[in-house]
Parts: sequence; structure tokens; C-alpha cells
Amino acid sequence: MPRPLIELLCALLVSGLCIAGFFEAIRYAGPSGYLPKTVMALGFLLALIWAFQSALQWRKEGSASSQKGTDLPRLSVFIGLSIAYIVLIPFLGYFTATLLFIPAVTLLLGYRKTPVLFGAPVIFVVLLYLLFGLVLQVQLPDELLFQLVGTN
Amino acid sequence: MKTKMPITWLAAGLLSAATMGSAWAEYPERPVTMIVAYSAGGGTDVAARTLAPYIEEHLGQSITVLNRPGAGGEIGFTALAQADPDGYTFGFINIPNMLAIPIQREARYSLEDIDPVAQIVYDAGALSVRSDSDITSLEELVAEAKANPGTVTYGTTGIGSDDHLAVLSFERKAGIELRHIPFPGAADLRAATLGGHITMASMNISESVDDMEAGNLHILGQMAEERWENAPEVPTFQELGYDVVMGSHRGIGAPAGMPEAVFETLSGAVTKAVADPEFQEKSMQQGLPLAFQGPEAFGSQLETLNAELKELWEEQPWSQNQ
Amino acid sequence: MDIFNNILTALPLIFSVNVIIAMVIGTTVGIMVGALPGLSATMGIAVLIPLTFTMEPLVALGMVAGIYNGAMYGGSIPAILLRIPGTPAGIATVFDGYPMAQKGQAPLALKISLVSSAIGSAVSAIALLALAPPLAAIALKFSPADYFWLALFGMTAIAVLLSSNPVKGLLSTCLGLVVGIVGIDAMTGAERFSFGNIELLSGINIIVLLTGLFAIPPAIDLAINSMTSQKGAKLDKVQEKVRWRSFIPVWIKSSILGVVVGIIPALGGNIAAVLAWNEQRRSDPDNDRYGKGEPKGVAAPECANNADTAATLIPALTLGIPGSAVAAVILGALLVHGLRPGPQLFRDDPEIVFGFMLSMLVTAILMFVIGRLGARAFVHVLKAPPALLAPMIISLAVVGIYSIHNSMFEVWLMLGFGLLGFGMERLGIPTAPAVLAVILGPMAEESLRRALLISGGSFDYLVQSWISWIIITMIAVTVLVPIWKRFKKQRTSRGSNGPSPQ
Repeated sequence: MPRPLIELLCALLVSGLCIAGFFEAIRYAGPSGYLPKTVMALGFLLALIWAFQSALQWRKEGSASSQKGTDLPRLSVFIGLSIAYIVLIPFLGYFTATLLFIPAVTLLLGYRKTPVLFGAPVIFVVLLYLLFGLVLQVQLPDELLFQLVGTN
Repeated sequence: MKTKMPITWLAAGLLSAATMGSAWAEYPERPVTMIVAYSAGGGTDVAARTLAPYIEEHLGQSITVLNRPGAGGEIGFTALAQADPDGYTFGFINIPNMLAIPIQREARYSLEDIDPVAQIVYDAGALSVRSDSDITSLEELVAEAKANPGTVTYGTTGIGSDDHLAVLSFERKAGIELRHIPFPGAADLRAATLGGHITMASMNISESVDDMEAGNLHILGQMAEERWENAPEVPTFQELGYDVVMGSHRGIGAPAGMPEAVFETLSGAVTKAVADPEFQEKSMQQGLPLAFQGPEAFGSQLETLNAELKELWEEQPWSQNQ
Repeated sequence: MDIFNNILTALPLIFSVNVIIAMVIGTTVGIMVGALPGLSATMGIAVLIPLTFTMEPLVALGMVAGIYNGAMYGGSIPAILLRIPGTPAGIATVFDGYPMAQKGQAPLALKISLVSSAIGSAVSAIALLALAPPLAAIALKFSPADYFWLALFGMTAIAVLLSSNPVKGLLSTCLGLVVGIVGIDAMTGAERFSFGNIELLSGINIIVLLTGLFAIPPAIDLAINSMTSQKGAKLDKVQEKVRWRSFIPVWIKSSILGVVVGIIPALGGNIAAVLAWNEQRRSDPDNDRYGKGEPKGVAAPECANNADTAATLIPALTLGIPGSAVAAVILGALLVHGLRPGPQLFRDDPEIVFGFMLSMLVTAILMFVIGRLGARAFVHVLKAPPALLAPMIISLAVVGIYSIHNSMFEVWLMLGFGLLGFGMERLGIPTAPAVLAVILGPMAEESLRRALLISGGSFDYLVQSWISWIIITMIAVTVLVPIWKRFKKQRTSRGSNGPSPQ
């Protein structure tokens, strides 16, 4: 897709969100509503200008200047694994999940030096444990404390 | 992941067995969690962490303090209400915040889910003005407010805070109308009062007394039944003819439905911890007005207060929500 | 002099072995906490408070001072190496620091940042020691109306951050304003943009937004390009000569700016840094070089944000009025040891207050030593394979955000902002204006409404105090001078009928 078209679609999406936000803001009584309404109206106006700019650009360039595509497979692998990681943290515990997440990503991104692949995450997790577990004493979703999961 | 699962299932099994067993085993046999509904480093957190080691000592188990701040305390209170009533989770509760939240909006917890264990601190509300103010007593304040309704400004630490509710209650009983200016916290409120940007501050007595000693503020009255020992020269509102008793209570609460023996052990440990002379000494240093009350006294006080707040809300909703 | 006597009695106290060890540990932890995305000085100190329960007051406070100073500097390390500001105050360091690192000048940039930070901290600590009582009274003079103008003045810094297309920069500002509105309205109690979600009621934490917008997109970029740049960036082996003397005016100007901003409650290191960078660029005749790797563009913000540290403690210690979240947490640490801030603190425990203020100065020096050693290690981050670095950044951001409020919801929110930030970068929308708007928007709205409440709706109140007028003049100058300059430039170029002489 040509870049100006993408920008045009995004601008229209933003202006739509601003309209929705404006209607939400109308429900806020009195002074509580002034700023939300102003911001939403301003955002809508800006998004329209942006849409107009991109439309002009699109007409000028046509579909000739196709943007150099992002590496979609790598992007989706990285984001997908990150989401899976955060989903799993409450169940596996932070350190366990991290120990699985880092090598998985590194491997899927195409890195192949085995000692680094498995060594580095272990060192990293140990350092994290020293900092967060011992020095800062942060209560992370613990590997074993299952009863806390319910309240989180 | 495959190798991890059996271990974690086993652990889960062990834990649930431990939970079930606690009814007849000797409580407490593993560390206990104390939920604090406010951020680490804040006033409530400091008070909770000061008390925790003394409860540990008398409970014979270590206590982990878990901060669950947010939504004016609602997130922490909800976590407390939903915790298993096995004695391994209890929390610090702040009154009137815990009572006011369900009144002013649809809360995610209900008061029935939390049993009061003990009141630790009662910090009475107080009204103070800058020492060079024209107003020098409650009487003059009432006269001034009657002459010019709605123009005398007072600051609080926010909508629905104990400071705000206290003035609302005073307004109602004295038949006056003041102008409310909310601030994000006690520090901003103090700055605005000392700087003369507002006429009067509604702050807890422990927050005002240092400024009174330094000669910056004049306290018109304190909203307690008896004068606080660190501010014996400040009259109470009741003495002056206004039946206003309101302030910030901090206490211990537990999820409702605990086995009686466990509840007894916990409240016993808290009672002994508060009575510990070392703890008393530390709270003195921090300026915490200790006021211990057991479960029954604290509970009945909460009921009275809750009824009063509901009445107040019916008459004059203090928070604007749709 | 009273001050000198107090300093003399406090000196031997802070040079005891325990206090020195505490300061070294504090500074090291501080640099680490600052360097890790998602962790801030506020959080570092807050979680350490319980550990200090059993310590002597000065040991605990020495550690706190170390963390505070160290974290401010630490924030610049990832800002330079990975374009991830470790703390909100590191945003402006990215502008010139990251381009320097890309040119292979990472060690130089880190060195400039360290020297500038240490100088800023030292100046600030001296200001705290010498000026605390007289300056404290200024903080009380600020009325809600003045705060409103102050927030607007801070907003003028946003204008600098607008990209080549102002529409996009302003849209980013709107995003920040909306994020700032989310939660319970402090003035009426109304719930705004929270959609019944309890976790949104207390608003969106600035660290969550910052980490999302600034830490996640670089991680995604690293992951996408991990094959093309397997080896990571190369470093210059040649030690470049720096003319340190040319930095002296930058340091003087930026430290003064940092101290002034620090004394005024509610602004903070982030605003100080952006204003200092802006001022440095404005005053340099050769201002095209800024944003492309100009060393002075690293020195100015780093010096200013560290000059803010001890200055923030001036109203906090003398009046008990913390000007920022960090200062509030430090007051909590004092309270733990039975030290109640305010005038009586200076009267009752002068040796501890002065000891604490001195330790702010000592840790500034310690930071320089520890930072020198650390910088050598930090630079190697650039040599790590990107495929490994990318997931590590995610893990750090996750644990950092989780530990602020023990909330998984905020972790999700951070990831959401990360994806949004990635999209914004791809569309050429700058993300920095959003962060400034989140800080200043609520401050402007609340203080305006508070001012109007106090005055009963009369707008005269907004222009009553001399402080208001000073700030209004400052706003007018910053807004009008560039316009006037451009106008003059156009006239001269039209007059000479050709391109203006450079």
C-alpha cells in the first residue's frame, strides 16, 4: 500500500475516534467536560487536516511510491511472542517466563550461536533476580504462590 | 514448558492442601500478606510498615507488605475483600475512604466482605487558618460564613476525602455554606494555606500541629471526642457546640468469614503489637495519634459513621458522577 | 555563620564508614535503576524505604541521596545507546545523544553526559546547602493562577518538539492531553475516559506511557532489523579530543535553569531538561547542528536534569512541600526515621538535615567515579546481538512497570502504548510532545479550575500577582521572539533580493 493512503486511513480513523470521544465527553457535567470536549474537537480538526494533506500527497504521487515494506513476519513473531509472554507471566512466574521468552525470540529471529542463545538469558535472569528479588525486594508474581493469581 | 507444568501443578496442589488444612492446623504456619491500598512511601504505607514487625513478633510469622494502590484505595480494598478468609491475608483499611467509595460510586467490593479487626490510629479532622487571619475562632468563622454565604474558601485533600466529608458535616450542623477548593494532597493544601491563597485548611490534626507550634497556623478546633494529647490547647468541636466527630481512621481489616480461632489469634497479635512500648515510641516520633479499638468497638463505630455518611450523601452528594 | 557551623558538625558524621558504603551502594543502584526502562528514582527509593527501617538515619538518607542522583544520570545511558530514555528526564538527551552514538561516538556522549550530570548535581547540592531557608519562601508565593501560567510556559517547550509537520506534533499533544484526562477528575469527582474500568480510575501513570512510547518501538526495530545488523553498532576506537572549556557556559546556564525549575514545585527534571536543550539550541548561532549529534545538546539537558535534584528538596525539607513524586517519597523516608520535614527539622535535627544535604554533594562526586567505571561496561550493550537485546528490553520494561503498582493491567497498557508508539513513529508522528502534555495538561487544567473556584469565576484573578506577570512575559518572549526573528530574516532577504547571508 502506498504510504499516503496508509496515512489517509489512519487520519480518518483518528478523526472517528475523536468524534466518539467527543460524544463520551458530552456526558461529563460542567467544568469536568470543558477540556475533554476541547481536546477532542481540536484532535478532530487536526486529523482532518492530516487526512487532507495525505489525500493531496496521494493524488500527487499516485500509487507509484510504494513504501519499502516492513518485515511483517518478523514483526508479528516479535509482537506475538511478547503478548504470549505477558499472558504467561501470572501463571509461570516472571523469571520462568523470561527464561523461556528470551531464547524463543532470539531463536525465531534467526540467531544461532547456541552458547549465547542459552547462556545470556540465564545470566540476565540471575542478574534480574539479584536486582529485583534481593536488592529492591519487589513482589513479582511468584513462581509458586498460586493463591495470589486470583487477586491479581 | 512441559517440564515446568508438573512442578507447578504439584505446587498448586500442595498450596491448596495447606489452605484447607489451616482450619485445624496451628495458624499461622506460613508467611502472611498485608495489603496496603496506597502507594509505597506514602503516609499509610509508612504507618503499616512501622507496625508490621510488631505484629510479626506476636504472630510468630513473617509479614509481606503488598501495595495495591489505585482508585482512591478501591483496588486494594477489593483485593482484601476477595482474598481467602484463611487468616493469611489481611490489610490496612482507611476510614472514611473505605465507607465513602461504595456510597459515591458503584464499588467493586462491599462492606460486608471486610471485617474490622482493630482501629490503630485516629487522626481527628481540624480546621486551621493562617496565624494572621481575621478569623480566630469557630464562632467568628460561622458568623463570617453566615454574613457572606459561599465565599469563605477552604481546602481539602480531595473530593470525598475525610477532610472534605468533615467540613460537609460541619456545614450541615452549623447551617453555613463554605466554598470548597480540592487539592491533590496534603502538601499542596498546606502550601496554599501558608501562602494565603485560601482562607482555611481542613487537614488532620497531626498534619496541622507542627505548623501551629511553628506559629504559622492557628487551629480553630479538632473533630475528636477528646483533645489529642499533642494538641491539648485546641478545643474540640463538641466543646464549642458543634457535634462533629470526623477524621481519618486507620485500622486493620480482614476478609469476612474467617474461622473464629484464626480471627482471635490475628486480633490478639494486633492488640499486643499496638500495646508494645517500642511501637508506641516509634509512632510518637512519627506523630501518629494512636487510638486502639478492638473489633466490636471499631465495628460499631464504622456502622454509625456509615449511617451518617449515607445521610449526608442523600442530602448533598459530594461527588459529581454522571 | 549558622550554616557553616551546621556543615562542620555534620561533616564527620557523613564520613563514617557505614555512610560511605551506603552512598556507594545507593549511587550504584541509582544508576542501574535509572538506566533500566520502566524503573525510576521514585520507585527505587519507595521500595528501598522498608529496608532502611533498621538503619541509622544518615546511612539510610545517604543511600537515598545516592539513588536520587544516580538515577537522574542513569537515565541518559539507554537514551544515548538505544534511544530509550531510562527516566522521563532523559527525553531531551535522546535528541542529540542517540545521533552521536550512531556516529560511533557513544563513549564520548556517555562521558559528556556523566560530566554534565555530576556538575549539575554538585551545583544543585550547593544551592540546597546555602540557599534552602531563604529560597523556601518563594515556593509558598505561587498561587493556583501562577501554576496555571507555569504549566502553559512548560507547554511552550512542546513547540520545539513538533516535527517538520506541526499538525502531527499537535496530534501527539492531543494524545497526551487525553491520556492526562483519564481517571477521576480531582475537582469534581467525575470519572472521565475510564469506561468503568477500576484500574483506570486513578489515571495513567506517566512512567507507563513513557516506557510504552519510548522503550517498545526501539525494541521492535531491533527485532525487525536483527538480521541486517547482526553485529551491532561499531564504536570509534579513536579517542576524540573534547574542548571541555567550551562547555562551561552551557553548564552554567543549564544548572541555573535546573535549580530554578527544581525550586518551583510541580515542574521537574523532565521539563528542566527540555527547556535547557531548547535554550541551548536557541542561543547557539550554529543551531542547525542540534538534533543531529551535537555534544552540547547532550550536555545541556543532562546538566539541567541533575541540577533539578537537590533543588527539589529545598521546598520539601524546609516547608514539607514536595515538588515532585521523588521528593514526596524522600519525605516518606525521612518520616520513617521520625524526622518530620518543615522548619522544626532544621531546628531539632540540624546535623541530620545538613548531613543529608552534604550527602547529595558527596554522591554527585561518587556518581562521577562509579559512572566512569560503569560507562565502559555499558557501552558493550551496543555489541550485543540485536536479536537478544530486543526481548531483553521487553522483559525489563515488563518487570519495571509491574513493580510500580504490582499491576498486570499496567503492563498491558504499556505494551498497548508501545504498539501505538511504533505506529506513530512509522507515520512520522513525534512521541515526545505526548509525554510533555501528560505532565503539563492536568497541571494546567486543575490549576486553572482551582484558580477560578477560588476567585468565584472571575478571570481577573489570573493576572493579579507579579509572579503571573513574570511568567506571562516569559511565555510571550519564547513564543514571539522566533516569529519576530523569522520575520526580520524574511525582510532582510527580500531587501537584499537574494538568500540571506549566513
